Amino acid sequence: MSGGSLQSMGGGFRPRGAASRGSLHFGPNMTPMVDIVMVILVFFMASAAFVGPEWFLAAQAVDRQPSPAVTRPEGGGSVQAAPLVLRVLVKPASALGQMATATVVYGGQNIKGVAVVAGGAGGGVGQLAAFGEAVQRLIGEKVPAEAVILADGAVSYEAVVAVREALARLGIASVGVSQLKPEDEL
Amino acid sequence: MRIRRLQHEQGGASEINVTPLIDVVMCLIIFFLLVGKLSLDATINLPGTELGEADAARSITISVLAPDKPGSEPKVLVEGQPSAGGQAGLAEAILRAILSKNAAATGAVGAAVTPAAAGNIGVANSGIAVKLRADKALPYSAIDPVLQACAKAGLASVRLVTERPQ
Repeated sequence: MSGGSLQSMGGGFRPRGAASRGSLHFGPNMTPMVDIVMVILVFFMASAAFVGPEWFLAAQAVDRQPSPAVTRPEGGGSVQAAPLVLRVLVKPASALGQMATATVVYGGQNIKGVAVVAGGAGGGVGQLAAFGEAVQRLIGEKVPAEAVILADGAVSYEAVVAVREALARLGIASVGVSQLKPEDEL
Repeated sequence: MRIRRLQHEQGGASEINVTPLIDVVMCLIIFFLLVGKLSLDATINLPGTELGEADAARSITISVLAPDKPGSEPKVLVEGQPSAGGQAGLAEAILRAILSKNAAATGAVGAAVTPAAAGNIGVANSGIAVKLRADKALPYSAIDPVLQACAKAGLASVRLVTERPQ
């Protein structure tokens, strides 16, 4: 069979090698680019840490400079009474399952050994509420404007935040946070 | 037979068009670039609270990372930059971050970072808040120096960043 007869049949002679097939493609080869882009995509997906839902609790950094000595004014005037401040002394846990133990001091009264159990998202909210109720019983109806959390150095930050949250639930807006020192002990 | 011949003549008509795929993948990459946080403080395990306030608009972030090895000191980052030099160095880094944030807002970029400059802008009343992102497992002894440094820099009010329940 000759080539002419093939052409007359409409089939024609076509080379079927790889080189001839490549010559039919126009434009750049996108395959390596797609490969690299896919690798970059997978890298970003794996390494990305999404900004989770976050919020904050306000706290005051307490300056532990020694306060000046209070002197009685001349002429027999009375010294202005210091505002009532709720103090929460947070110490390492005394029992298994507790985050910390708190001693709450307010207006000459105190409650000792209140358990602070894991608060946070979901877990132990009931126990944290119990801590809040104990403080509520101590302070009565008059909610102090200020509170100070004095945390032992060994107490976890989570426990301090849990106490801060409990105080926020009681409506105490201004809460100072500082490290517990020996002179703060009862 | 005729269809096959046409496809062959058009050269590559039988192959998949990858252009829309590339478009979508490029969009995804840009999305992950914007949303993803590749900084060091992404590994912080924040404490969770049921109560909290929404994020502040202008703030500087101080991150306290759990130590890599037991017994080593926790790392403190001010705006993602490691801080050195103890409490004094940390206070200076906080001051520097506040001043640069303030300069960026007012357009006074390149202003000197001095206590006098801090006094001029009134750091405490600058409206810039400090956000403290600290690992919940850290002992409080690792957090207190940061709070003391904030007080030293003139910023007594600190926002303790917590995780909101999903």
